[in-house]
Amino acid sequence: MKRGWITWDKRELPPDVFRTRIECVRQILKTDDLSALVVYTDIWRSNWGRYLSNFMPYWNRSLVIIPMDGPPILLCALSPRVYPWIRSVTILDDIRTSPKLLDSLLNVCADYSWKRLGILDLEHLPQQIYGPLTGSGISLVNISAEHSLKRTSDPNELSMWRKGVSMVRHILETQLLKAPAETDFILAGRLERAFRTAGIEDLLLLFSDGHNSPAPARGTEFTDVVSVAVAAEYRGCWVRLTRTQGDPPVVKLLAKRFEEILRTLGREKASPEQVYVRNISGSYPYEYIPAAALSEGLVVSVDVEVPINGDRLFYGDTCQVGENGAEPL
Amino acid sequence: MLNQNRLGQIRAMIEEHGWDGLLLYGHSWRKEHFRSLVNLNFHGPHAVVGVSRRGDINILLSDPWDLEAATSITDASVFLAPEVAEGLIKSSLGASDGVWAVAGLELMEAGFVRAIRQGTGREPVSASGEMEELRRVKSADEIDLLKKAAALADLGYQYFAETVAVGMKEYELVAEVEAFLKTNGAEDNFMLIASGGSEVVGMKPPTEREFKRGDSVITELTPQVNGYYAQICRTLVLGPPSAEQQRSFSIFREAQLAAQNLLKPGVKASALAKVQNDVFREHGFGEYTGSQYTRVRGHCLGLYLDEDPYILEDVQYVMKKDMVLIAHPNTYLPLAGYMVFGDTLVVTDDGCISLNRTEKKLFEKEV
Repeated sequence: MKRGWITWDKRELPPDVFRTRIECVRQILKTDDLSALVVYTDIWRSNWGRYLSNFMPYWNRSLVIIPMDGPPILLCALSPRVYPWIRSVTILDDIRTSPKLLDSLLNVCADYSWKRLGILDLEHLPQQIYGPLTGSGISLVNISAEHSLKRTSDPNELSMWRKGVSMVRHILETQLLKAPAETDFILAGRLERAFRTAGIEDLLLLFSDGHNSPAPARGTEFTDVVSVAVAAEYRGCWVRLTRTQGDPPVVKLLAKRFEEILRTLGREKASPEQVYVRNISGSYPYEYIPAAALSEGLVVSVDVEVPINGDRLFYGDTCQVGENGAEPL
Repeated sequence: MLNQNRLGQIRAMIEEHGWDGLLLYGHSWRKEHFRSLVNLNFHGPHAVVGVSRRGDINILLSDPWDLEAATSITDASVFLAPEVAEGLIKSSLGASDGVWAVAGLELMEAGFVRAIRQGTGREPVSASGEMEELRRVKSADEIDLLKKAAALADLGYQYFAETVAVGMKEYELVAEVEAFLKTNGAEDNFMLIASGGSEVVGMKPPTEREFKRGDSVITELTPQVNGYYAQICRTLVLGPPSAEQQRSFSIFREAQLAAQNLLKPGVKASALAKVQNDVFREHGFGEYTGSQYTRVRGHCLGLYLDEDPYILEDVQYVMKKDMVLIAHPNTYLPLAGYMVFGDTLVVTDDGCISLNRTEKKLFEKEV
């Protein structure tokens, strides 16, 4: 759950970056003759709201509205007491208290006489909002986030992903060296401390002792093999990595197998039970997709499972799909 | 690991309402309906379990690693559907003609609801309210888990109080506390924090602010153990508390105690809120009990950390034995800024008991 340090470092992501993204949205609005784009965001599905405004609800849910004219609006179920903090870490200034998001959206539409709205990923809206909105008389147009916002070809976003991957890779590999003879609880605690102190906002840790696929900690005592899958959110960019601590030659073999699979990913049929691909550039932080569904440009996590000496070993990284398979970021 | 007691309740509910089946939906943020029957901490993003009137139980998961974990804990039918909408249409989840109810319908993506409609030929109905009511009264097993979560919250607060130090940043303290709770078996933890003086108007995620001598450091810890969340709210002062901090805290303590003394079966949520707010009114701070300065005077706890009913003066819900809630009069006061104080309470036959053991005081730390 999000409880890390949420901030906006303007040297890392200058305000101009967001101006460009908003301008891109306005081009879409203009083309489709839309009054505004509405972006749903909640504690777990915050990728697109963050991309456009740097806003991430640490709790509850919100709607980010990008009007054709005028500054972005945040309809926010959080208390006005935290609005100064929200303003300090986002591009948003117009924040409106909205315990009932749909009612607030309809009020905004009425105030501005908006009759035609773009909804980012319309079919992904929660039914509680979608149902009444579709019956409201406002014309709704689906805007596909993946195809319209081009997040995975945004150099600033790729730079953030790379930074996140580099940080997570370093911390995970360093901490794993101490893993054997610990329980997964102890290792989880150690990783939490290291990642949160480094500025990771949200974190999911899964563990395997060589007998199961990675799963949440449950008190397992490790012997000589430990695989850890980490999903971590660094300033709005999720990254996933999996590493195994074991005999060095075995780990080397695992990394080699991973590289081989990356080269063929999306081009040849790899054995599906050994390769796990998750889209980390979509609506959700990560979403399993069949390898056959990969398309060029996607930012994904790729995990391979390789049976060695009777153990199930895992290795994975955050990659971008290209012409020649997938490349680690 | 199906909750057999819950399964019996669900079957009775299906019968009572004349539904053809019930789906319990969860996503990575809101797992409570799903986990009330299948105690699997899926990593997601989606999971659905369906119980048909005929008695079939089918579990849909969207990630292969969750599939393996589920298969190892239940002999119910489990299948993988990365495309959840497609899975809902193709599977026997809601695929038979008839009326299917969904707990978590409001949270479902619109496309999933359309798939259920397509599969059944009928509009699904919401069972969220019915399931929430079912989950409010806890079984003995559930109360045991909540006791464990509350004990971990106590240990977590003790660690928090030992660790906080002048010069440390808020997010560094949170990292330490998260590490402690995970080391001691927490699945998850919801934690907010704030520090400073009378300028502090609420809690939020940690910032890079460094703690200073004289700060009030306020937090709510909400560790999750085997699915269940318990909460503790406490305030600590770095250095000797000022007269204003002491006076302010005494009001919070009096308000929380008033709620704890009142809580028993038959008491309305509105009365629990009013008895806390009346303490502030008696001290001349009635205006700080409204939504401008505070959110709720408490809420229920369980498989979700912020369950209905909320403790507010306009909520008429009547408390029942074995409900678990926190009463916390957290709000801003001009005396010393936002303060928090609250314990997890379980309603007994004729009152309530606190599941927390942490001392009920304004904590202070020598600096």
